Formats: sequence, structure tokens, C-alpha cells
Amino acid sequence: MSQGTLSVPTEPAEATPRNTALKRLARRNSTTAFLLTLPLILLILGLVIYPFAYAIYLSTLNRRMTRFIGWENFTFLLGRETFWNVVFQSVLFAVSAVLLKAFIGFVLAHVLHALPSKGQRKWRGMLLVPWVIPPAISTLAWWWLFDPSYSAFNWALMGIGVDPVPWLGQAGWARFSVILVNVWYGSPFFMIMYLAALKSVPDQLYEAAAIDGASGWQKLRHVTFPMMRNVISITVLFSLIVTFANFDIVRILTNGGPQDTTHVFATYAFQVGIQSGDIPLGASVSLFMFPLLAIFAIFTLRGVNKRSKEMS
Amino acid sequence: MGTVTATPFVPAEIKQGSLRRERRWALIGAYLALAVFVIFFMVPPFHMLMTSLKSSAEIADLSGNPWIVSRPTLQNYWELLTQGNYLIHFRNSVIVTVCTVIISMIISVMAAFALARMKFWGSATLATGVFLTYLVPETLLFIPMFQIIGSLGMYNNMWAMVLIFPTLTVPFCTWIMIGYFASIPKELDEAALIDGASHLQMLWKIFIPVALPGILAAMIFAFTVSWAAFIYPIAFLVSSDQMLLTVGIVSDLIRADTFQWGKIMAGALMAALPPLLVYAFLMDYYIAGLTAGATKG
Amino acid sequence: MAQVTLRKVVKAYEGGVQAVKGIDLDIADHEFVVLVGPSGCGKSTTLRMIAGLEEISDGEISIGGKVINDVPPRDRDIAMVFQNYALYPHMTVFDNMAFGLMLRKFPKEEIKRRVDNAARILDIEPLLARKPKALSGGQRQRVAMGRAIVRDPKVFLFDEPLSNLDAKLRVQMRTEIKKVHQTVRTTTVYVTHDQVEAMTLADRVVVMNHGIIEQVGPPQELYHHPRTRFVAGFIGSPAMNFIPGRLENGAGALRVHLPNDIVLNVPAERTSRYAGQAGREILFGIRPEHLTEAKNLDRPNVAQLVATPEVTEPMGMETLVHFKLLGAEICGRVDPSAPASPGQPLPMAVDLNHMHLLEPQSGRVL
Repeated sequence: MSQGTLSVPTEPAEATPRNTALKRLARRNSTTAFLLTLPLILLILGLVIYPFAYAIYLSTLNRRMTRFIGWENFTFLLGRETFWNVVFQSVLFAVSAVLLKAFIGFVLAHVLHALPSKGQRKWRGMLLVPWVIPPAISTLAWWWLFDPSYSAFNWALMGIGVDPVPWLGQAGWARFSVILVNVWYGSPFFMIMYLAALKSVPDQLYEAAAIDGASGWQKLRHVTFPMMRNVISITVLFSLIVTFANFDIVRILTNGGPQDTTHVFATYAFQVGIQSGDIPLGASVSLFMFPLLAIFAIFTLRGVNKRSKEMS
Repeated sequence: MGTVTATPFVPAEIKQGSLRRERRWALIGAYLALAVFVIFFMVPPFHMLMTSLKSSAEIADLSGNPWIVSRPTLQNYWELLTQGNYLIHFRNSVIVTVCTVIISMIISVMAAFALARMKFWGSATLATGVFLTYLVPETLLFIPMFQIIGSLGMYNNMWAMVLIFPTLTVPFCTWIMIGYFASIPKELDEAALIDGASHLQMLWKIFIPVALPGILAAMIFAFTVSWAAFIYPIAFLVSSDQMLLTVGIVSDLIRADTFQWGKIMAGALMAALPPLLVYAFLMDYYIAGLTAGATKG
Repeated sequence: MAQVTLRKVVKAYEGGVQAVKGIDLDIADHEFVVLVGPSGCGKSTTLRMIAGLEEISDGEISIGGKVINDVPPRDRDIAMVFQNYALYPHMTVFDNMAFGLMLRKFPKEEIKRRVDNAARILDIEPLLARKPKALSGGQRQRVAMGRAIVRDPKVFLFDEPLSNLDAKLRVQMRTEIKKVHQTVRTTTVYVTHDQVEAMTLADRVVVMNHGIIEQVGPPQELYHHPRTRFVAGFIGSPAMNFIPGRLENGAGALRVHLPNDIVLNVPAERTSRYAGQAGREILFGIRPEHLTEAKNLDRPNVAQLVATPEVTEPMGMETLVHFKLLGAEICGRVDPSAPASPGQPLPMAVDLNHMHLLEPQSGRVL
């Protein structure tokens, strides 16, 4: 607080104008603070806010970027079946992957938490591996596992008499596969977040609940859930943002195929904007993500603020 | 446990016995569940390792077991390291990542110190802005960024990555560091102030050494993100000598329709190694850094 | 010369709340002054204004005759000991103590000489190479004091330095602080909420309440001659008893009429002091130590009164008895051998030589 009050330039009303030296000091502090944050401000302005504004501008241009065409890119997209496929697949992909990740993470966190603390570290170490490998690299391994002719999964399935599965070749299976890989990659993150939250619940609460006669399920329902609610919602919202905007997994596994059925916003924008060279249309596709992301982001921020208030 | 101890009519010995048995079954169930998930989680890396040790002939042989290698060879690794551009990609990745980490840490530590300790006009708004920026996914901005980089004449130049990657790392690193700095007791800077330290001396001599675990966590985060970045490299880098690992492996090892799977897997494994090593040795900082978002340090 | 002077010092926060409401205080060179009061009374704010950690909203503070309102903390030549020690966790004990000197660019040998000297005074020489984490609470407190001593400042400031220690260590460190002050003789301002600490350490005690100074004086003076109800109640433990009553002029002498038809004669030497108050409502104040088992009844100005204790608390060297007098909770201190037990009437003696009469509305001691 001390620096705080020293550096706040507003003086109380009854202060005499005599405090000039301290005022100078306060002004110097503000200058220092400004200089320290300047690189950050420039970064945000130049490489986040400006590109965003530029994206809006781009989305109003025609394909060769010579003419202002207003809403035409957006209306064009809204009239295309492929685009509606992208919307459907993005929502399906994000919602089902996040729900699965949240569930698996929750189960794993509980199981880990129940282990004696000696073995916990070892197991936790192994369970976090998918999340440590860069997804662009681990997806290559999945791609190979899903290979039409050499799939190691199909080889194993053949062993128990099941027909080969067209993992990436058929719309339904391809949708399943990209979700599976995303769940594989993202579950450990949920697990570790929940585990941290579980550990922050004081043991005394459980002991008090046990003495009050709560069963295991009741403890989960009345102690664990309320204490973790905030972390769960923050993690889910955050993961919704990241999953909704995912690029690497879909791009490497299917590149949107078969017949554009697995395209999500990011891969579709990449295909339209970079590969086919229609920059304005690609920018428009990306911008369609914005309203949904903004809503998620605001809720996440609210959760984080609430949580940090609770923690202090 | 609660329900068992709450029934007073059961004789003590039986009660204890069933309690112990119940706990043992719960533990066995826990280990079983863990084993299933560990297998699920380990399948891709394991299969990656197996494939990387196989010769092309063995991979192509459909009659063999794809999960096991029968005649292990390091040929794939050897070829990667001696021919082609794999080492160039690796070097590019290292250069870009090291630069990104350094730039990110300088920007975020300075800003976090000011935001955590020197309340100034707009500091609260800026802190919120930092967090919101962190939530902006790179897939939202890569197309305008493509144009901007192009107009700067940096298309197909890996140094453009050094310029862009900080947007992915700085907001979160700043956020982590604000949390760590805020957790340093106020009395410590008051003591330093009375001892005669200026703000910069306070940052350099007190805050940075005290918050070293946080700085390490933030560095690991920046490293991970920068090493794993994919969409910017794939969109902006086209010639092999400028490519980073995440993109280079695929684009160089897939010629037309021939997939050199053994080499792809070997390359992928070696590319995954740096983060895995950092993780193995600094697991606690790693986890602290990547989970700090919700718990604020 | 390092006297500290406060002139009409005000601390106002945004929104007009005043934490300190224009206080005046003169602290002499070498003096040990303790600011004491309940939490929120403004004592810490006052100390922090002297330190330069809080801006002075109005008024003037000077150290050694020089006004320091505009001087940043580092140029005020003060040293401060904090409640939670505020040791730099990454530095050794030696470096912690040397940090301030190092920033002021003292030569290496001089730093070493001073640190060694301070370490000897505080008896922490074997700890110099350790980090704060490896120290006990008492040792950390010593290091924090060492950090202040090496600087050889004009003024020491202590902000509740013993609050984080356990009761036994607190008593020990209290003695230690007094000893150090007797050695180095630096002007000291010490803040605490513990009146025992204040009484034992101070040359003069400053009792603060609601941002003003209630009374300043040596410990014994505050104890025997409190000027306000707040001071009377704050100094001394257990606290002074206050019983509402009435001062009457009867049979040529002043008498205090208390509930339950208790009538006490005002000592003759005080008659003139209270003469003007006859016929008024007053508060009768008496400390528990002057409300004892029946003894000395033959001495002048000791009156008898019978009370029935509700609770008795044996303390070892004495027993506290609590009883009610028309709703007022009264506490007395009796000898452990006195036949005090709950519900049993106990004859007691009131030593009227130590009584206080207060004005009920203003709380002023008459």
C-alpha cells in the first residue's frame, strides 16, 4: 500500500500545496511504472488490438482486397452449407471434448487424491505426459495409429475379430477420432487443475462432515463440489475457448476431411484464407469465433476474479 | 468411513476389519482405474518409439505386429541427424524459443512488477486487459497477422516468429508474475525502501530473487508454448531452411505420397524430448506455471 | 541530535476518513516512546508517517529539527523493525543486515565491522551465514533489530515487533529490546497494542484512541493519574472498575453514593478538588488491586463493603473475584488465602486513596 499511496498523484483535499517534493517523487514513480509497462502495452496494442481491428477491416474487402464490400463476406458464408457444417462441427467438437475431458479429469484427480502421497507423484508424472508433448507432434503419432492400411488399432481389433475401422475415412469416425485425440491431450490439464483444487480443501472440513455423519457421496456433494465449483467452471470455460479455437489436431489428422465434415473454424479459415488465398473471407471466418469466445472469456474472467477474492 | 464409524452397534473388531477391507478394495479400484488411463495415455508415445526403431521394410510388412519391434535399428535417427534439414529445423526451433523466452521474461517481469506494486492510473484496467489478451486464441488473429508480417517483409522468415510468439506467452507470464509478486509481503518492500533501495533496485535485488520459483514457472510456460507453436509457423514459413520443428517434420518427410513413418516418428520423438526433459526435472515448476491461471500463483 | 516532533499531523484517506486527527508530540533525543492503543487508533499510521511509508496529509513532522514531510524514507535516516520481521528470504543474516549499508555504498570493511558489532550486541554471531528460513522467531526478531542497529540511524521505529512471538519469548525479547536501547541510546518510537509492553518499555507512553492522543506521560503517571476514562480503562490489567454513582454533600463531608446504598466518604485531602461537583452524577473508578479482601480497615480512607462473588479465578499469587453491582461487572483482587468462593458473601476493603471520580458524559477524570 505504501508505494500505492506514495505514487497516487491525487492529494487529499486539505493537503497544502507544500508537498511538492513528494509530488515530484510520485510523478517519478508513475513515470517508472509507465516505462516498465510500456513494452507490454506496445505488444498488446501492436500485436493484438491492431491485428484485431485490421481483421475487421479485412473482412469487409473483396477477395483481391481492392474494394469495400461491407457485409458481403459474412452473408456469403451464412449462405454456404460448408460453413454451417463448420459451425456444427466446431460446437460438437468443443462441447463433447470438453465434457469428456472434464469428466476424465475429475475421476483421475479423485483417484490420485485417494492414493497414499508417496506413490501419487509417480502416477501423476505418467498421467501428465500427453499434455507435455506438443500436440502438433503427438498428433503425428495418432495419425500413424489411424493410418488406413497400417493402423495399429485395426491390427489389434483384427486380433479380436473386429472389422477394420475407417478412423479418418468416414465422417462419423473422423469426428470421433479428432475428439478422441483432443480428449487424450487435454484430460491431464483438467486432472491437474482439479487435483490442485482438491488439495486446497482443508481436511478438517471432511473430518467435520464425517463426524456429522456424511457418507462418501454426501461429502463429495456437500463439501468437495461447492469448494471446487469455481475451479471447475474456470477450467471448463478456459478449455472451451482453447478447444473451440483448436487448429493443430484437426489440421494434421484430417485437414478438414472427409468432405469438409471435420473442419472447425480455425482450419476452415486457414484453408480459405491462406491456402486458397482469399484473405478477407478467411478473416471473416475467424471473426465468427469472436462473439462466442468473448462470452466465454468474460465468464472466465469473472470466475478468476471471484476465485482470487476467495483465496485472499 | 463416516457411516461406518457412526453405527454404534457393530462390535469394534468387525467394524475395523470391514473398514480396512473397504479401504483396500477402494485402493485396488483406484490403481486399476489409473492403470487403464496410463495405458491409454501412453499408447501414442509408445507406438511412436516402436515405429521409430523399425526399418522401412519392417514397417511396410503387414504381417508383422505393429506394436512390437523385432529388429530394432537406429537408422531412422541416424539418417535424420546426418541428412536432410532436421538439424536445421531443430536449431531454428531452439533459436526462436530461446529468444521468445528471454523477450517474454523481460517484458512480463517488468510489467508485472509495476502492476503488482506501483498502483498507477489505469493499472487495474491494464491487468484485466492482460488476462483477456491471454484468452485470445492465436487462431483468431493469424490471418491479419499474415498480412502484417507480409507488409513488414518478414514472410517466410523465422525471425517473424520471434516477433509474434511473445503475444502467446507474455500475457500469461505477466499474469503469473503479478500473482507471485503480489504474494511477497508488503513489509519486504517497505524494509527495502527504508534501507534505501530505489524501485529498480527493489525489483532486481529483492523481487526477482524472491520470486525465482515463479520466474522459473513462467519461463517454462514460455518455453512450452513457443516450442509447441504450430499455426504461425505453418502459415508463415514455407522454405525448409526457415521452418521450425513442428512444421518441418511433416513437410520434409512427406514427399508426394510416400510417408517415411519411421523417420517421422523418430523426428517427432526427438522434438518431444526437450519439453519432456524439462518436465521430468522441473515437474513442480512446470505444473505451477501451467495451472497458475485459475489460482493466481 | 535526533528529537522527533509532530505538529498538528493529520492522515486523511480518500473519502475524508481521518485516521490521525491533528496530533502534537515531542520526542526527546535518546527517549524511548511507546504509542499504544486499540487497533485502528492511528498509532501504526503515525509511525508509518514518521517512516515515510505513508504520506502526511497535513501538519509537519521533523526529525532532528529538519522537516521531513517531503523527504523519501531512505533519506530520513531512520530504521524500522516490522511485525513479521520482513527479512529478505534469499539473503543470509549477514547480507540482510548489510543490505542498507551496501545500497549506501559503505566500504566493505566498515560494513563488516558494523555487522559484527551489531551481531555481538544481539548475540547472533553464530547465525550470520544462515538464511532467515533456518532461524527461530526470536532469532529472526534479533536479526531484524540488527538490521536497524547497523545503520546507526537517528531514530528506531518498531511496529508491533513482538506480536508474532509466543508469550514466553515476548517477555524475553521485551527485556532484550530494553537492553539494546540502554546500549545504543537511539531515539525510539515503538508501537504496540499491548499495554504491558508499553508500561515496561517506555520512558513515556502515548495513549492513542480514535486518531487523537488521549494522554502522554511516564508509565507510573498514566497508571496513577489517568486523565480520561479511556486511559484509566486501557492502562492496567484487569481493567479499572467503573461504577455509576452520585456525589453528595452530607454531614460536612463529601460522600459517594453507589448502588445498593453503599456510601463512601471522600478522603479529606480531596474534598476541595471535588467540592464543585456535589450533587452531580459521577462515575466512581477503582482498580481491582485497590478492591481487596477486608484488610487495613483501620487505616484512613479504607472502607468496607460486602460482595458476593459470581466467579473466582485463582491466579496463583492472587485470586480475581468477579461480582455484580446493579448490572456493573466489578472485579477485585484478593489474597489466595482469602475465603473467596462463588455465592459466599465476602467482606472486602475499598482503598479510597486510589479512587477516581469521572464525569460520565465527557469521560474526563475530575
